[in-house]
Amino acid sequence: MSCCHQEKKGGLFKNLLRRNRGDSEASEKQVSKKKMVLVGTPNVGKSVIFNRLTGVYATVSNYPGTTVEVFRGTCRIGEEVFEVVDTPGMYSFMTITEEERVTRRLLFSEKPDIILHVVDAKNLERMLPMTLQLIEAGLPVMLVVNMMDEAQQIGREIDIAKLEQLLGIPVVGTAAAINKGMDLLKKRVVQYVKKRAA
Amino acid sequence: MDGERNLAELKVGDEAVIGRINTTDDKILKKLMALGVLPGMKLVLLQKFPSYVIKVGNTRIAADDSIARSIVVVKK
Amino acid sequence: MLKSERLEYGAFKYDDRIEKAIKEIESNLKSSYNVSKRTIALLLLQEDSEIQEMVRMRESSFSQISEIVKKTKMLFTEPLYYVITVQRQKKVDEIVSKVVYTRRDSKNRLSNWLDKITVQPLTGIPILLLVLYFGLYKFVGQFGAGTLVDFIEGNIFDTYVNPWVDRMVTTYISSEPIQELLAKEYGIITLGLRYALAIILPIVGTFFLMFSIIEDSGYLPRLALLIDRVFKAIGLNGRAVIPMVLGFGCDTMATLVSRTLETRRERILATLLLSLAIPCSAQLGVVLAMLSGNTAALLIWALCVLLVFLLVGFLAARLLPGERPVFYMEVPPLRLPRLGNIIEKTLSRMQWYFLEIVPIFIIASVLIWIGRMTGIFDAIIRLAEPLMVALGLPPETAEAFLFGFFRRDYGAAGLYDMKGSLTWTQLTVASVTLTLFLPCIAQVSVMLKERGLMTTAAILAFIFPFAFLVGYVLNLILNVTGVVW
Repeated sequence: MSCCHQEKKGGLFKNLLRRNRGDSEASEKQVSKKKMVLVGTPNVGKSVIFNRLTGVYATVSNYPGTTVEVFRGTCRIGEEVFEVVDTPGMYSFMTITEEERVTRRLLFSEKPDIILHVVDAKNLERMLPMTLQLIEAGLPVMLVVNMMDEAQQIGREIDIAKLEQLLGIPVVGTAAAINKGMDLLKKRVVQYVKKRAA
Repeated sequence: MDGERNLAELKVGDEAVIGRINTTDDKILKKLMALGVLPGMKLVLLQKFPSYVIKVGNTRIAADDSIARSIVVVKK
Repeated sequence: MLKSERLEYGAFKYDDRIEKAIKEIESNLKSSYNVSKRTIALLLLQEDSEIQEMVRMRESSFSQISEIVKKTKMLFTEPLYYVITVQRQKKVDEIVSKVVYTRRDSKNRLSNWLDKITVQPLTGIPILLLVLYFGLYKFVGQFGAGTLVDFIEGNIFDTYVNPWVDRMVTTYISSEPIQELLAKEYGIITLGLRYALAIILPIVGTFFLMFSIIEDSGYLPRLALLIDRVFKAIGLNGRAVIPMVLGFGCDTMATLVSRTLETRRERILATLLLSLAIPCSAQLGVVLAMLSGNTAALLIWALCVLLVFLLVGFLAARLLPGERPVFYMEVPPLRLPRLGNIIEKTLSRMQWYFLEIVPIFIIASVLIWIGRMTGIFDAIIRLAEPLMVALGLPPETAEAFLFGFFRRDYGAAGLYDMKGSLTWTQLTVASVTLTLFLPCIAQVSVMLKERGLMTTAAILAFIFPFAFLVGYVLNLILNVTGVVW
């Protein structure tokens, strides 16, 4: 795709947020890295999942729209090494803001091995349209239904297995803020990329 | 259509079903759709001042007057 | 079956008219794309300008495609993106109805109640004032800028570090200019580092801690919806509270974050107001400390700055063409912030601050040293002295203003050192002028990068004379009305 992908503007946060990029790249050159991209609307815990996967700190925010940069980190699960990309919030493929355009360009140009679409379990009906669009696009998407704990607190149960069956893509339920479901997520991610490579 | 009115005409606490989005402004329409404000969804008006706050599904959305007037609802 | 094709091109279909158009467009797409042609076709139907541009470059049959889109549009009364979104949502609702079960609404009463009282004006505004009073004034102003600064500066630097550095430097370095570069009154260590560690660290640290707590609790969107109407009057919308509040911590960081505002007009207005009327925490800390002995002086200062903020915002919004901002925002539930997140976030912001801002302190120290050595400073100070006199200030304050050019808080701190010899009127006028006066070097560099040369130059050309005009008028008013201490 010819769109220039502009993953970094500004640059002031560079030192801070890319601090462990260099060393991880040096030590893991021999393994071919898989690319994992996180997408989702603001305020669904995307940055927390990014943080849990990579250990890199991205500014986690409870305010829509504070993640203005594309963050990258590295994550090792078993013998697989992933380059993890956290994108600015995106509501739909029909982009409105510059952040959404940056995300879309990235999705359309970077050929990820797996896309984790992170959604808020409390607001599934509002988030699934984006999942459908990712599926429509033929992208390798896995759905992460996050904040399962908060959904439960408001009396909401979600049949993950049924959702997986209806969507035809892998679905994992998590509560990343309290570190629940992260192991299962990692396991499913590795299974997914292995199957896809085969 | 009978019972059709915009959000600004509802009272705090009223429940209604979103009928359509009445705006010539493309951007407002897209923004509302992105937030899940779509025809057929149920909403509750939580407050009107200083900003409108509505609840659609489990999402609360704050909006200003111009947006509130563009949301046409059918009161239950 | 991990990679099932169940939904992909299969199960989920739009209505026949849309599907027909998709098929027709797909058959006209000859080059290869990283995403499905179905997606490209759908985006073309929804007239996405970026995708249109891309396809125009790649497909010879672009005009046929446009024709298909035009034909399909005629079939519907609503815009196609609306039609497509509504149809997609129908499918989603169907899926959700099969997988989501809702038990009785067992929502937490306390959080419901808190959610409510923070967004209603009658309770929300007092709560906002409490947050400001305890968060900003008590914690950042008094604890950070007062107690902590006194301890680190008074007990550590003044007692141990500075005398030791001065002694070492005078013992081991014979060249007097080099001595002055490193130590003495304006040295890199004794001034640059002392300001960084003794004044900035505690103030910025306490501010960022407070900001992280407020941010993680989900309070900021509530603030945004409370203040939207006021911000509309100055050409912004409620969404701008984040850069504005962040500006009280560091205007440089806030200018960077103002990028999230949707229109260029809003970004310019926010940049102007940040550089003019939002004092950063370092400056705020010093001003609060300087005026804290006198409530009237503090009130006059706060009122003046607030008035300038609203007035300039109001006028600039009228002068600057562009569409009116609309406000909409998701209001997340209030959450108890998690300690780990808060600490990490505060530390990462402070780390950014120290990597990006503190080097400028050091550079500023060097520039001041060069300025003093070459006599340029004395010349500028002499030139600026009549300006000071016009504001009713003693000529010596020119030095503080000159340093304020390098960093706003440098200036305020310089003034703070002269506190004993100034009257309250002079302190108030000087504080107001310095607050409005030029942004620091770091902020100017971000302004240049984010807003461009022309905008930055225009903003600075306005601020410089305007700050002095306000100071002049304020001095006049204080004298004429007889409110002189």
